[in-house]
Amino acid sequence: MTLEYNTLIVLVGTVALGMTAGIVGCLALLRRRALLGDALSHATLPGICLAFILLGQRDFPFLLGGALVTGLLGVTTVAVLTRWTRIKEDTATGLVLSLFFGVGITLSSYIQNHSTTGAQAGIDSFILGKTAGMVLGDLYFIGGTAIAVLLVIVLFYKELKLLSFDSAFAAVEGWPVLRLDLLFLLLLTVTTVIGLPAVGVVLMVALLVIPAAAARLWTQRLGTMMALSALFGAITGAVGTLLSTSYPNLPAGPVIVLAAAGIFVVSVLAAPHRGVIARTLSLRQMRRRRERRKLLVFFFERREQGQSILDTGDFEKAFGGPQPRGLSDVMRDGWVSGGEGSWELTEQGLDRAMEVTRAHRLWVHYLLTEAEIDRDLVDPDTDTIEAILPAEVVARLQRELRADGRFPERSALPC
Amino acid sequence: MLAASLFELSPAGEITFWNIAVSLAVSSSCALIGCYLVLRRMSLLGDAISHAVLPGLVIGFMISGSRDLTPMLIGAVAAGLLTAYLTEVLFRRARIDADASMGVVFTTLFSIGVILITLYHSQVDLDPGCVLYGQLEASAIDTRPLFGVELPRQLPPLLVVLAAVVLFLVAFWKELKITSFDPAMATTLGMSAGVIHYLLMTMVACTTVACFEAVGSILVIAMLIVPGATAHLLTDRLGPFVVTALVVSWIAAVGGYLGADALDLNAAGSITVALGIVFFVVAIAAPKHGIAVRWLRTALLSLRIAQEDILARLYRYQEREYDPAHAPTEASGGPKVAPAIRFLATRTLLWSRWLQRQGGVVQLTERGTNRARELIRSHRVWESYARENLDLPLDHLHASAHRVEHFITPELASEIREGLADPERDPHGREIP
Repeated sequence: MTLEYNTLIVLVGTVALGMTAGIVGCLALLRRRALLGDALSHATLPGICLAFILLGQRDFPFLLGGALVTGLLGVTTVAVLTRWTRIKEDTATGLVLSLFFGVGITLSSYIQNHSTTGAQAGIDSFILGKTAGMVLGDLYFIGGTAIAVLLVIVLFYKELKLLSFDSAFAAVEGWPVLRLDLLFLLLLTVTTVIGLPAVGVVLMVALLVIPAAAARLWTQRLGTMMALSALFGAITGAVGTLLSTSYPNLPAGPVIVLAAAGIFVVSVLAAPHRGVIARTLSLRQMRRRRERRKLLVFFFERREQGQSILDTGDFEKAFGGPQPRGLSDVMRDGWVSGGEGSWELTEQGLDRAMEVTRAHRLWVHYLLTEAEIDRDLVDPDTDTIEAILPAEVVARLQRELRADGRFPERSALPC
Repeated sequence: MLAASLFELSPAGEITFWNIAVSLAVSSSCALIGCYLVLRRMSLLGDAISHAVLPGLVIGFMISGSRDLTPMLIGAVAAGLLTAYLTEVLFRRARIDADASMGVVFTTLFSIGVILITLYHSQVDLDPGCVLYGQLEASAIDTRPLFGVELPRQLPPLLVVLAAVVLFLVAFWKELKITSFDPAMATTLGMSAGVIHYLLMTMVACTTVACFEAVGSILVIAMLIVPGATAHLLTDRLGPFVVTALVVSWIAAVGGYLGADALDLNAAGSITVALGIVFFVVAIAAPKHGIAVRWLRTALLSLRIAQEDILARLYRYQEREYDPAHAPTEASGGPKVAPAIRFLATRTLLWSRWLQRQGGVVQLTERGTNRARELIRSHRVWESYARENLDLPLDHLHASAHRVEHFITPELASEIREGLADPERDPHGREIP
């Protein structure tokens, strides 16, 4: 596909924008202020309209300057309302969002009904976004602002990181938390404002939230998260632009948001550890491990009672089925041999079953006698009792179990 | 022309009448259901749902091919519940913050809706502008006969939804109240907070859809939240709260519409502006929770504390028989005091004859000495108490006593003193007056 010059300009603009929004969005997400960006972007509309009314024409930096002013006013209003009245943060956010937008709509209808230039289209494109109108001058403006925002983030990386994860700690350590918070809000506002021409007032928040939320699923480190989020933002911008130039009657904002949503859905499914697939797999693995251990303990306990060969009837009673799940697993591991209705532990299987039963009984004994640990924290089906409890405690527990005749060891087994 | 014959209205007046009727119906149902969004701290879920119903609405519209409310309502309620559900799933399963989950879900659904409208605009008779800010002005023009009366087409469904909202609030008044204020208690009483939650979300979705044509999907958030937020600043009881919200919404609906009519502005936007004006006036001037009253209360308190600090300071100087000429009159120690407050404190003390100026030196009067003695007593009694019962080291006693002395009444001081076996001296060895 060959790109036209115009498309190229728009592409560079939206990619730069996507990256910046992705990085700033990480900070917003971690500060749990994800939806503040929503209030903020809606709050820019009256500023755009006022700037238009004052100037009488569509001058890009001037309109965005107006957007910046009312955007900051909106954020301040949220802060003032939550601090000085009993209005909670969520209500304050929704309130600023809808009231400022209402003022914007009213001003916009004033422009439409009273303005002689009739350049209403210039305003409307800010509501749902219109990338196609971007020219080279706009690109310099967006690019310059994006670079400035990134520079500030690099300079204040450590401080912003601390603020995002533990602002109380930052305050105790003597960092100027209030000023850093203002810096963060300024970054958020500036990013939102330069995003307006592409994505629009209504959906700008998506560009801040979705790439960051997707990146959060892949990593636990802020640096990596920011890099990933920037990458997702860039892809979002590129895909969104290419799609919306192919279908020029679609507003750009929704298309870009859907591109971001696509990345998000993939992340939710495929991310390691936090992704749905990984979690389902690890859950299933854990379940299988549990079944296997349960089965080994069962074999061992029968062995202690003198029965070494088990048949379907034994399983029927204990597990509610003739062939418990996990039986094939332990046979594949070589711990159980047999088939055709009768099974027994192999030599290694006996050792393994002994280990498992030992750990299990030690845990249960510990929990019953001296559990000051929260029971939920302990998984009785692990081998690692030695790794969790001090050695002398384990030794004592072993002595107690042995005195009880319940400590699994070969010498205690009936022949 | 029912309204015209009843109220002897001109044709233009008739349009105004019906438009105001529609905006009142919209405002009332939004304000009623919005009260609970504000109380339950779910305002942003209202925001999310009002955006996210769009695709459901459009699909309902595409299937039925008309602005018939029922299919649109079904589609929108489904989309609304899907939003609430998906948000919860993302929050629980993928561990994404609640509001970030909301942000992801509603922007995506809203985008799908806008794209559907643009792609199928020949079938879907809704334009993106209407989605954003509605067409309240046009309500009175598009009429349908009902029982022989020409009513705006939007009005009967709006009234049905309003009736449903009222019925819902009346029927579940107790459940809504308990689950809103104390979900844990509701669960122990055997109510299902989850069921009430999803019922409420259903009602929010229905209301949003019914109001959609009139005010769009963003301004409806203002109609939902602002009356409740305003009422929250004015009252502390649920009944009056709901009524106040309703009245606020009516004032804004009528005022906003008339303003828009006079100035030729977008009606829904103008109603929102009216709501904003009412809210900010209340936020500043509300009798108990307003910003102005809070400021005044804080200013008066710091004035009193500054006054009392001056009195206590002078008393200590007299007690130690220092040269009163060197006694500073400004409050010192403790929290920082603004110069204006400090100046005002000295002035008021002189005016009300707690202090007097003698030969260029400020001294306590008889009255001033008595009050200062009370304060010093409270201070030292508290020091003894803190030493005895809180086991604070000596050098930690003063700071807390310096704060607490302003809030210990003479009676309380005597009581504490008796409780401590009537000590003569404080832990620093100074006499308790």
